Amino acid sequence: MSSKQGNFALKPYLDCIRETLHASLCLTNFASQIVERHNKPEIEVGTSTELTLNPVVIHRSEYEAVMIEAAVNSVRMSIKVKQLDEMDEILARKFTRFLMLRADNFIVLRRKPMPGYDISFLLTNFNLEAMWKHKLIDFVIQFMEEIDSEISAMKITVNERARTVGYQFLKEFTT
Amino acid sequence: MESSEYTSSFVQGDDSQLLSAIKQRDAACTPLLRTDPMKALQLALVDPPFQTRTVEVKDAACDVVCKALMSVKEADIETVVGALSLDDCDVLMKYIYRGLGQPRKDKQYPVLLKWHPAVLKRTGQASIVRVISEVQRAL
Repeated sequence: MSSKQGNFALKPYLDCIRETLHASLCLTNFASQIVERHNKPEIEVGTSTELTLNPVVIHRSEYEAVMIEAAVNSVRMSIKVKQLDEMDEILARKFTRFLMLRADNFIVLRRKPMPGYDISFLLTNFNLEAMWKHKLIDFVIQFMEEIDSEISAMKITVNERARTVGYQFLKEFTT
Repeated sequence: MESSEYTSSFVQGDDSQLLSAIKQRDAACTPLLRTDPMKALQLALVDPPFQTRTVEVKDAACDVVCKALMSVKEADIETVVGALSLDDCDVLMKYIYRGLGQPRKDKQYPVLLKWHPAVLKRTGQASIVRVISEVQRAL
């Protein structure tokens, strides 16, 4: 299977991301220090510098990267999908937009990606309390694997359709 | 409500001094890269520039370490990691993450992604936690 071959090349990258996520997803409930009785993901609020930790960027290549920003009660993970030409860019943009419009169903997806990245996740302590940590991480890693394979499958389909359409159209003009 | 402002305990050091120290380290490491890469790595990990926030200084230090890391053969990675002290492994993990974060350095990413699990096996998850949580001692 081609996906197995792809996995082999991706494996060190995904392993590194998995371990980093596992270490950064140590979250605890933390009420807002600024507004009474409010509880906000501190990585999104960002006003208290003592609550946010060092952001970490992991590159696989010049075009593929993952940024993990951790705070005391939330972690934001942004993914830059591999896009080598314009077709890839359009497909990635459309696909991620499709997913982000339905972010509520994904629970941990963010509606807007961070600048410079294609898609972002927001994991809070409440998510970790409701779901298993190792399963959450598995979900994110599997998401990354599938998004790559989906976009290449879409690219192949688009090219094949273009070829078929061109062939059928130009067939009229040959004897 | 009395709100106490968070004052960081970070003290900015002298950039030019740190840069000259890094250049000296680079000069000392470069001849060892081909003959004894383990010694080169140990030299490169000495005195990490914690007391600065300047990107140039941190990048310069990271470049020295990455050159040493790339000169170690894949089979020797485990032995080299085994020979380092645990504190050095923590510093090395910080450098690995900094190297993985630098843009447009395609040659070093696969090498660093090989070193990452080797260092992780030696130090455990705690080293990654230190990379993320040590804001005052960040590389």
